[in-house]
Amino acid sequence: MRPSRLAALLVLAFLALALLWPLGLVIGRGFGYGLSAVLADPYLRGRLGWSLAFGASSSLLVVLFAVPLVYLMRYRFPGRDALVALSMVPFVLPTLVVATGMLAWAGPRGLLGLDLSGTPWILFWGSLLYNLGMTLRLVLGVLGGSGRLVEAARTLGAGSWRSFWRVELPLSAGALAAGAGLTFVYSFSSFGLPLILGGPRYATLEVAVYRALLERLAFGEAAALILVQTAVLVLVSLGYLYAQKRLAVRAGAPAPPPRLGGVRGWAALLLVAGFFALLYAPLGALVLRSFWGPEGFSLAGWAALARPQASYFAPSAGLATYNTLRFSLLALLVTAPLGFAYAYGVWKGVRGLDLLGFLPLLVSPVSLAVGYLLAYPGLRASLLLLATAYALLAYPLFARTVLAAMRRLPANLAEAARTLGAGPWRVLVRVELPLLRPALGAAAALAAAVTIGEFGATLVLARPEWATLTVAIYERLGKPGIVNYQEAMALSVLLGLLAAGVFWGLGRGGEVG
Amino acid sequence: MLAWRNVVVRYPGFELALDLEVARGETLALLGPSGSGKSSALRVAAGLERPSAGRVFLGGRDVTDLPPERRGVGFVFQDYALFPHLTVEKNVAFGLEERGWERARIRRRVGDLLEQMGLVAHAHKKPEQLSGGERQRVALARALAPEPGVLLLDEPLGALDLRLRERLLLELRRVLAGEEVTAVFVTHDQTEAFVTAERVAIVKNGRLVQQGAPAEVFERPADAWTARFLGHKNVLAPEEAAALGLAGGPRVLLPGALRLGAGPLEGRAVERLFYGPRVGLWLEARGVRLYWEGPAAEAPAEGTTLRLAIDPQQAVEVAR
Repeated sequence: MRPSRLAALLVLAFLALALLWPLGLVIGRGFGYGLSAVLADPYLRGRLGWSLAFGASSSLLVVLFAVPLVYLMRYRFPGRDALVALSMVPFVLPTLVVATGMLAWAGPRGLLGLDLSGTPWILFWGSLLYNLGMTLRLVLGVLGGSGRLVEAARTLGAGSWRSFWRVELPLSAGALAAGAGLTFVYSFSSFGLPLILGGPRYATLEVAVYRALLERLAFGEAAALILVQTAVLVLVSLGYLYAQKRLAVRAGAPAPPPRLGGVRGWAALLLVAGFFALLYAPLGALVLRSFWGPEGFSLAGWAALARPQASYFAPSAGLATYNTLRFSLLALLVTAPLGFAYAYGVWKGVRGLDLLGFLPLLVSPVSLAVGYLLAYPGLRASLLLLATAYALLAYPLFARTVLAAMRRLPANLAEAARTLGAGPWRVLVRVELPLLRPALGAAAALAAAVTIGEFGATLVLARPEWATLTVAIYERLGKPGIVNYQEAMALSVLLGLLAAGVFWGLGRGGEVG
Repeated sequence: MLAWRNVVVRYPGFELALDLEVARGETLALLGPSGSGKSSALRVAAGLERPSAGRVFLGGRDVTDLPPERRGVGFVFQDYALFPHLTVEKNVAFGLEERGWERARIRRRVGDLLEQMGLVAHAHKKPEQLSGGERQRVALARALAPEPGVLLLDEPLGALDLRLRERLLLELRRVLAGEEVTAVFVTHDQTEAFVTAERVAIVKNGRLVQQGAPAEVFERPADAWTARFLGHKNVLAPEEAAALGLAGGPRVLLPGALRLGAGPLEGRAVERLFYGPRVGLWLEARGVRLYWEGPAAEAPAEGTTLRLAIDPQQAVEVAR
């Protein structure tokens, strides 16, 4: 069998078992009693309304901030490249780190001195922090290839602002829409942020699913909520695909951005750096807070990490770290072959496969975990379900990175190898794999960083002895006392460092598409 | 109309120094091998690059400090740089809208240009649906639309295949003559420069080597390098010239300098190259390789020994 066919079969089999069957079971349960009960309940209807509002406002905010930032960052000025790299940081940071950061910045004991918890503003800030960098990267990636077009616009009489308005903005509309669409999807189905910061008023559907399931054991209700959520995500994804088709333009060859010289360059640096300093202040607050007790500097939170296990339900920091790394590694064993198979199949042009890459976007981790419990009750005691959930969430990111590198390979290399007598398998082993090795490293790093911070599925699937760092943070936050609070901050710093360290250490930060 | 006054552009390991003027209505070709700095000269004139020193004048006005959008030049990019999100019509209208023309006037001007360039059928297509030659014409129409004082063309035919180049070259020549626009175009192809331009300026390693009318430059090349670059095949070193009885320094034999059939020299036909309409012949005479071109009937077979003569009037002396 040709390797591309085998790859496609592998991906299809995995998606059928790990996504379609469990999710189909849940959605099937959602019809009937559950659905009418959910639609009749004003509180649950409110969850749908708020989730939609949160998603829509978040994407609007991201676009509003991204446009002026892109206007400045399309130029070259001192420190610009560092700022572009910096804007990527939150993308690999676990949501829980962002959530505890917001708590340390604008929570009840926050550094800002203004308690925003229980208001939507803290959620919007968190969402912006999380999604703005991703959108900027998408847009700047497209604009990187439009240098010649801007020059053409300039010679035709368009000034800097006019050429931005008439050429660069229309060209980046596709990327901007992609960023907005992804921001909607991530915010609409977000879990960690609203669970910790939103209270009952600003709980999303995803949080409502979790609460219905684990606090009230109302399975029918949870299934109905998942049904509603999935329906919205399917509609949004279809709109996203349509918009991508309409707005996409082929980018030209990459060209260096024009230089903004002298005072204007430094002013741009000041503006952009100042903005990011404010936007990312919660992350700084998190680090500061982990060293700060009621009487000033304190190592109590960090010292608490060394404490032995307090009870069966309160995992020690050591165990949580061990579990986090162990599960990520385990998941990578599934993610890597799956992600590679998917990327390879798409690259070699297996029809319809590229659309399947969107499917995992349609499921939220909590819904997925609920589906697993329903579909495979016999496997609850094994780590297989957890590893599968991780792989399903991480493989599209792995595949995207590898696929970008594959598309950069000259097509005639494989053709040359074929004329020299190598079959498709031999070409894969002797030519393609060696050339893709750097990208595979970067892709593995990204996948590992994402699974290290996974929260929703872990919370539903993990037994107490499997608690990861994210679960441990959540557990500490739920307990009273300043030391528990400080320990949650310290654990979050540790988690953030771990995710960022894996991402930059393994992948050296490059190559990620 | 356009003048580079002591313009210097510096890059790591490279320097362009240029002092050159283009008269109103004139077509000038900046001719040079790749990396000679000719494109930089064009970009400086358009304001896409700032010179390290010197001034640029347009219509007598110092424009060195003006951004590109305020210079009123037309620029045709080598890769055309057509806006992929706009139709052909909108691409051509772009500069007119920037200048705030009235809508009816824009429609008229765009319509005229599309008609003139044979693009009417493509007006509502996006650039990616066009062939290379069509794109080139759109780029030219877009640059010409706002009736710029000076049209700058960066290797305008460089990205096209040979057959298409010949056709578009004639078209470009016709358009430049018809629009009565001052034009500067950069090329590495001497045929392109000779056919299209009234004056040719040859640039080598960032320096202006020679300038003049095409025939003048071709028949009196400044030095041996320029002669070879312009396509001369018989460029003789001093000792080779001496062996053939021509005194002095290096010599260039113009086409027609070499006559076959009679004369004081004896030579042997080494390679006979059949091009179709003409035949090229590499000869050896007194240890010097010589090239002759003519109708097939006059060219002897390979290996033949023959008499030949050199017209000293057409053996011009050049600098080293």
